[in-house]
Formats: sequence, structure tokens, C-alpha cells
Amino acid sequence: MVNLTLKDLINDKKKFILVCLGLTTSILLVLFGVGMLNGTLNEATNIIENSSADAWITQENRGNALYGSYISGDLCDNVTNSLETDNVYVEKLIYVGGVVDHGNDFTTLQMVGINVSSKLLKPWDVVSGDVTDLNTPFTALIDESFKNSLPGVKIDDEIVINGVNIRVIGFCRNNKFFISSYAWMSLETAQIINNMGNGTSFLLVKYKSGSGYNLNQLKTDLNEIENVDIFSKTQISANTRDYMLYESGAGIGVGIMVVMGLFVSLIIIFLTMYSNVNEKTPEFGTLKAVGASKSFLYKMLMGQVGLLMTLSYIFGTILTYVIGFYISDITTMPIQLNLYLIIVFYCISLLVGIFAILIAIRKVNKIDPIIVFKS
Amino acid sequence: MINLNKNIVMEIKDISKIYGLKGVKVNALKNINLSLHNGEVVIIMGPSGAGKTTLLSIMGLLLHPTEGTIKFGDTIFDKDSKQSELTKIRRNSIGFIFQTFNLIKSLNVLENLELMAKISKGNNNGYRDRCISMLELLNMGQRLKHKPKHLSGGEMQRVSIARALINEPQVILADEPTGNLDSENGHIIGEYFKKIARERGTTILCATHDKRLEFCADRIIHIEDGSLMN
Repeated sequence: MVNLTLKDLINDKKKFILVCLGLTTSILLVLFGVGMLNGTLNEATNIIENSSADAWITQENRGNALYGSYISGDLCDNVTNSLETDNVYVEKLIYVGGVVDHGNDFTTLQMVGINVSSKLLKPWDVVSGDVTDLNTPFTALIDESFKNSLPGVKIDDEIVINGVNIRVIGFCRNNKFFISSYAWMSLETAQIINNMGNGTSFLLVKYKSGSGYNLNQLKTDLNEIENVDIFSKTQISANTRDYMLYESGAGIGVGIMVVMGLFVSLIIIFLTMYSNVNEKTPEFGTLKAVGASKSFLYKMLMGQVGLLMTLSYIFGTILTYVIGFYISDITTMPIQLNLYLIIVFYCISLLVGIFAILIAIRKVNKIDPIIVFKS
Repeated sequence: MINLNKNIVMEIKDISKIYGLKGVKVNALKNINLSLHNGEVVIIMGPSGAGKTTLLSIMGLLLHPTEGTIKFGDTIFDKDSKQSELTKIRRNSIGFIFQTFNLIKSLNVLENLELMAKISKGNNNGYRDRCISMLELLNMGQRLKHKPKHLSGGEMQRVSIARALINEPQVILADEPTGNLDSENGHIIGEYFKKIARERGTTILCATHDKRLEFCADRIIHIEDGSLMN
């Protein structure tokens, strides 16, 4: 049986292709922004999510992983002395930014200083090298993305981090935040490079199994200690995501990009459908005259918008993956989409499309079928 | 002559239509009474502006009258009738033929007819075969896959007639159906009208200036200044 929705839509093939191209571009903009924000949020918290710590202790008013937190050696001692070793296990973690000097230029990196025999946090996706080799001073296990700024870098090469020569002992994958790759090193090496003495960025706390210990007890036990804040893993993860979303400007920037993309879609659909109804006023009048119900006409218009948006969305998603993969590869910028986001933004795009045809629908409503007799 | 034994399919009583144009009232129709019988061809003639199209629009349930009633079967419509009710009757019981054919440009000949099945929401079993038979009956069997832009005026009007007939309406309303056709095609259309009315019992009401169509009429009604003359 004839499909007027489709036939009418593709009757003018050039126009159809141009509209699809415009919509695909705007959807690319939307999905690219969403993917970048999602990737950035995931990477901002990867150090937290990959640790098995139950609680994080930070410098006072530095309640997320991205703030520069510093807890002095004395303060660390005060904390550990206030806690019963039967209840908890405590580890230092240094997580600070730095620069790699490669001749005439610098690139940023993120140093992660750990207890090499750590029970709470280790590099993930290690592709070469042995983590225990980090016990050797001035060594680092670095993310593969360093190869973008240091082409040809390999195991046993020396790189210059914050002016200190560091020997590469291995590589890992996807250990990075935004454009800063991680360089894993021993706590001692990180303390020396960053002039932190015996201090640290964070203290990671693991409740010992069977102890029944919890966050409230931890806060009670550290009640007397000043200049530190205590968070559960969930809290500090949420704080870090919130910081990226609302305070860093990344959320607003990407939000504007997404809204712009959706707005462009809205304008394209509005102009296309409104001009379509204008051009085909006699045809709509004829359909009304021969008995087409309002629902028949609405379904036709909405079907056309649904088809346009769906086709463009499919192309937009494929393009986002292709371009995103390419950009991630050459810039380390994270672009991560998942099925949930794809479905959510497909629904949002459809709603935008339906909103955009409301005026066209109003125009169709106003067409008087009597025009069929006005030749 | 009217065969009084034939059933009345449509009857309008005391129909008036007043248009308000920029504060000026125009009496387009004045107290019109008219009955259409089963299987007759009625032609309305009259000069431009006489009220032919307004009468056709009201009888086609496209326009509400200012006063009066339209009886279609057992249902009576007036100025307060709901648009949805009028649409339903148009969909199932009235066929339209237009001077400018008004075919859907993006659809081919067969699809223009099949579209009526979608609109009528009826039983679609065998609809395609019925469309093909109808088009063959009107000598359009060889042009099923052609789009309107590839048809001549006469061919487009035959498709338009097929479209009007496909849902087997009781009444067909035609507005200047030969207005864009040459005399040969005009005559063919007149022949079809006669044939449809005789063989199918369909009532045809045709508003036209074209005296060439008089040969197919059972009745000719003249309208002038919004009033029927005889």
C-alpha cells in the first residue's frame, strides 16, 4: 500500500539530501559535545572508580580529585595515629599535574604517585612492563598516549618530568584525564619531583572486612584533626563530576554546544516542514476535501519528521564515532558515547523535531479545504 | 426529465450563504432548495460569481451554510454541524472532481487511487485490484506507474474521476471538470459521467460553463445572483 509520508518526503531528492546533511551536521555537533563531556566526566573520576578505597581524605575545602589537595607529612601522621589499624588500612596517593619537557615544547601530564605494593590503586590496562619496577627511584609507567607528544618513546627511554629525568619502565592504556596522560610512579619519586616532603595529595582509606567500620566512625575518629575533609568514594566521585559539570566551565561549554546543535535541528525542521506545507497547500486542501482526518495529516507530518530525524541521527552517530575515534587517536581528547546516551539524545532530537513542526501543523489546520474549488 | 421513482440521495432546504467581506455582506446564495436523485447527472450553469462554487462547496460539505439544512441519507447538517462529521461523510459518501485535477504530485497514478484506501480507513483487501480495474475502465491501464507530470490534461482528469469513484460514493461533485480540457477530452468526460450515473447509480452534480457537457445532463439548473432560475 502506498506510503505518502515517505513518497512525499523523497519526491524532491536534492532537497531531501540537503536537509538530511544539515540535520546530520547538527546532530554530529550534539553527539560530539555529549560524547566529549561524557568522556571527560568518566576520565575525571577514573582514578576514583579504579581504586578500591572506601573513603578519601583530602585537604580541607579540596573535596574533589581535581582540586590541588595537599596534606603535609605531619598531618598524615596525625591521621594514621588517630585510626586503629584493626579497623582500617590507609595509603597515600599523590595526584598532581605536571609537564613533560620534549625539547622546544611542553605538554601537560598527571602524575600518580602510589605505594607500589598498593592494595587500593594500581595502573589499569597495563600493556607492557612490570609495576613493581616502579620501586626503582625515578621510574615511571606511562600511558600510551604519551607517544603522541613523544613519538617513538619506548621502555628504558628517559623523559623529563618537571625538570627531572625519569626512566620509562612500561606502558598502560586509557590511563589519562582529558589531554593529560598519567605517569605512574612510586610515592617517593612523586614526592621528590613535586617537593612534597613526606606529604601527599590524598589519603585513601579501606575498611577492614569484618570490622564493621564505616564513614561515620571514620569521621568521629578524625573529629579532632583539623584541615582535612573526609568523603566516601561515592561522594568524592560525585563532587568531581559536579566540579567538571558546573564549575570548570566544561559542562556549560558543552551544554551550549549541545543546545546550539539542537537549535539548528529545530530551525532546519521548522523551515523544511513549513515551506513544505506552504508549497503543498493545494495538496493538503485536496486531502482534507476528500476526507483525510486531522490525525491522518498529523501522522504524515510527524512521520516525515521522524524519518528525517532518524536517518540523520543514524548518520550523525556513525560520523561521531568515526570522527571521534580519529580525534581521540591524535589528540587524546576523550569522546565516549554509550547506548544510553545515544537513546536519550535520539528521544530528545525527536521531541525537538516534533516541537519544530507544531507551527507547520497549525498551518495545515488552517488550510480550508474549500481552496480546492478555487482554481 | 426527473424520474420521481428514483430515491433522493441529497436534499438541501432553504440554503443561504452570506459572506462578510471587510464589513460588507455579500449574499452568495439565497434560499436555495434542491434535491439530487439516485443515478442522475445534474449540471449547474451560470455566469461567474453566480454562486455555483459556493453551492457546490455547501453540497460537498466543505462549507457551512449561513441558514438552511443539507440532508444526506438520514443525516441532516446545518451551520452548527461539526467538521469531523462532515469530514466523515465526505470521506465515505462524496467524490470530488476538480478543474485543476488536484492529483498528488509525488504519487503515481495507481498510488493516487490507493491513497484513498488509506484515507477511507476501510477494508483494504483487494483494493489494489479494484484501483487497477477502475483505471482500466477509464482507459488508464497503461499509465499506472506514471506520475501526474507525465500525463496529459485529459488523462489527469480521468485519474481524478477514478479517484472520485474508487470508494463508490453516492454523489460526485465536479467543479468545471472540462475547464482545462480540449473539446474531444471534454466530450469523453461527459460520456463517462453518463456511463457512471447509468451503470453505477452514482449521482453527479457538475458546476460548469461548458455547454458541451449539456448532452450528458438529466437536468440543467441555472443559477444567477445566488438564486436558482428554474
